[in-house]
Amino acid sequence: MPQAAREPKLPREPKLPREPTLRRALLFCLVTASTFGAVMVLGTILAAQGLSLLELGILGLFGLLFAWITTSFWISCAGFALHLLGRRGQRLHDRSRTAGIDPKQSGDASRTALIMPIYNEDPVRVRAGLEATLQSVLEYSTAEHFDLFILSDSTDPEIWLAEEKAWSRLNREFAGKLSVYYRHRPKNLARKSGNIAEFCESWGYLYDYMVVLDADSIMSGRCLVKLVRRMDLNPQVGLIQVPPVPVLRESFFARSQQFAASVFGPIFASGLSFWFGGGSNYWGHNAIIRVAPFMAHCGLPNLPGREPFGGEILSHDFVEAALLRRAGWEVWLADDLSGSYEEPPPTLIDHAKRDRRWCQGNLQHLRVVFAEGLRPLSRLHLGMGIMSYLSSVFWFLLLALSGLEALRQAGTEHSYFIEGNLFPNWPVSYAFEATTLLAITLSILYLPKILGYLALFLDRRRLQAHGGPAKAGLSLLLESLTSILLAPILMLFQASFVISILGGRSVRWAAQQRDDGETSWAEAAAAHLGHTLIALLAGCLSYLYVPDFFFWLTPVLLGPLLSIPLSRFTSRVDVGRRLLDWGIFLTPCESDPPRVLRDLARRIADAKPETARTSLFEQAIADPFANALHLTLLTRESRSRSERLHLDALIARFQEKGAAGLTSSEKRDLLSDPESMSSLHALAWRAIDSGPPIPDHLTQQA
Amino acid sequence: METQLKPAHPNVPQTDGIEILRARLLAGLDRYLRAAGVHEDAFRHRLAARICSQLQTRGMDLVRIDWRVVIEAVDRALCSEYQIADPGGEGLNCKGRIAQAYCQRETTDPATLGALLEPADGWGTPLRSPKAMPDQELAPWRPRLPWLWQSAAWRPAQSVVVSFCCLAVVLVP
Repeated sequence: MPQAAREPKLPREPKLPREPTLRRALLFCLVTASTFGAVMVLGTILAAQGLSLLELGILGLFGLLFAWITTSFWISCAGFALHLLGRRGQRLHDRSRTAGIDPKQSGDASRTALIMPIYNEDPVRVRAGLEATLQSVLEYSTAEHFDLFILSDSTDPEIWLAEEKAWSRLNREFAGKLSVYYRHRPKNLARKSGNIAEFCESWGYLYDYMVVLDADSIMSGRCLVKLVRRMDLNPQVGLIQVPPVPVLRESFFARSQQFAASVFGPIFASGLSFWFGGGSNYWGHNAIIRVAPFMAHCGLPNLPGREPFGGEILSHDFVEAALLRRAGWEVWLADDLSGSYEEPPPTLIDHAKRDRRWCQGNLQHLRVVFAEGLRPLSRLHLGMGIMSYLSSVFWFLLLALSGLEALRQAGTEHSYFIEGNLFPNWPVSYAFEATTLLAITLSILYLPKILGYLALFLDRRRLQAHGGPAKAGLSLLLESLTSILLAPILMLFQASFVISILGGRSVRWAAQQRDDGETSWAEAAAAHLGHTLIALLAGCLSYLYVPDFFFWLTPVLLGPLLSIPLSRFTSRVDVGRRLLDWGIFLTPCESDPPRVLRDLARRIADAKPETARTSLFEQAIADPFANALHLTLLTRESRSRSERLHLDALIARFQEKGAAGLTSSEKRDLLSDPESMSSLHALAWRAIDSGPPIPDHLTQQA
Repeated sequence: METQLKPAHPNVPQTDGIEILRARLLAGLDRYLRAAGVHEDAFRHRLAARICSQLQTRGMDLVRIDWRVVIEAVDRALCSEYQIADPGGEGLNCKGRIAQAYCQRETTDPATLGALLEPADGWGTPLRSPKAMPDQELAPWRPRLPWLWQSAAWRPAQSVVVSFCCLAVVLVP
């Protein structure tokens, strides 16, 4: 527990070592050269009879999309090369030695706050995750000073009260070892970024670093301690992101994602770290941040204009990384650190829901990407975020334009004799060029997966943990097949998101689905009926008018056509478990789970579900402990006369109709006011004084 | 379960006598303390008697018991039992009930109870020291003439030009 206030450390301009510009120029050259080559080949094919406007459009879209996939390809290639050389994660250590920067003088241990902003999340899962993380910290090291802050923005009264109970248990469990704090914001201004900013503004002065955790984040003590030590050793670094590994979900969809992240993720992360070095990006959680520069340079303004493009910045992480970079601080990706985990969305529909929020947040960056003073690399990160959603629209347009071109070609007969020319004009076949281009495109798409698979062979233990060569290979095939089917569905989802956002529709702030909830047939039909119809329409039209093109289109149409059963099937937990039994999609976190994940699984299994005999709201009124706990966590705020009258009216209604007579928002109003909660507690006891015995479930909540 | 809040004894006649009223208060206190987790009979009876006496000394109207005052007295008595400092003043101090609940469980070491319940400021969080995070400027970049002479601005452009030159050497022949 911080006993004394620390003097806030003023952010100083770090002396940056020379950035690896040559390396970045090389990436730029590789991407540009690959794209140029591919565009030239396609241009040659299309320009056989002169380039039409339609063909120019196809060429432009193809160039953009090819550059997009080629960037990922070269990132993966670099990552694979680093794995071959065994040089993952070496760069950040090297920098502190070679840059002539003095590491932090170790007088007193750095203070680190683990902060978890939560919004209507499952309190049982939150508590279990935090317990596992804190226990792991205590087991690994007691030299570092960690405090935990649960920063709640929850609006659901039941979840708010459950969080308080969860905090109370955590507080007692770690009493005398670690400080656990809980803060609930009555008004959740600026969502997650506002929540974190409020923490910094109130308690930032106490800490050197903060580690931002998501509600489903798990970090091992070893990882956390190593992050702190790296920050101590590298005072020019403002932020270190650890790639979170998706774990713990059991549905087919989630397990295929977990496998993909486990096999391909490490080489991609190494590649990112190699190309971008100290100009890497921030992914919003599982990262350590130097508090003082963050406070000085990362205050986010409201963007001008109305939502969806104006207002609060939704995807704050990329912008914060860009602002830190603008102020001269380095942002690193610790590709060599393990022990950072998160949970993936369990179903395709949940994935799409999350994508809807991210899509709006990333498109909002169109207003930020040209901001004054940002580093080119930061603009690239922001641009890549935007492109990850616009690429779906470009892909859709490319398919549509290609269909039109095929139709045009089908309607044009080749003229063998051109007026004024004595020699016949024989048709020229570009089958070789077209096949080569297709092969190159497929290689660029799938070679990173193969490289990820090959990288497994560099580490025998890792290969065995993925099920051995045969099962890992089989999993790779199944994952590739799944992604071939799902990619067009996600493309249609994302294209519709982009269109709806451009049409001015904003997204609601809702909690993410984190448990293994399966998709029902009705949900699948509601979400994918449009996709099925689009696939049917495109299939029928192409088959009727351009049969040759139809067969080329089938791999893209198959996914959307089967999207309803596919979405339902991939959400099934029993299928995921069966595959686990067969050793398919096996990951090291499943075959040999690390201690922190085993601990988490045990704690979740041990957590007894609350009996639903009475609401926590009623308990907070009637139970002496629950009431006292809630009251001690509230801050007193002066109320206007009208507010007081409103609250009194709510108390009267509760007396008359009970909890059922109040809406969720009215319960929240009462819960936010200490006076009202004291009055209600006293009224409850006045009412039950000399009444029948009090039911046990209303009391003894400790 | 719906908790209906209606006074059980709105009109107790004065003639019942002070002892009956005191017994009624004691019974109410007993229930409340039991609900608060004071399961040991002797301890509960002692606490109830002490709180009742304190309330009577302070001149509480036993006919119309104000449960707010009773609950405050319970909190104060429990704070005193567990040696939790009473902040005094008008601030709410409900830590007596929390201390009682925590001590019920073996998981809470009585030695750490004070440290758990008596941090410097409030309980859920440490002392706040508000310091605003200044909003950053994110206005779009607009070209200005002096920018052309800045070497920092030129460096990325130089890199792009050099990259294109390299590409030209490789691709054009």
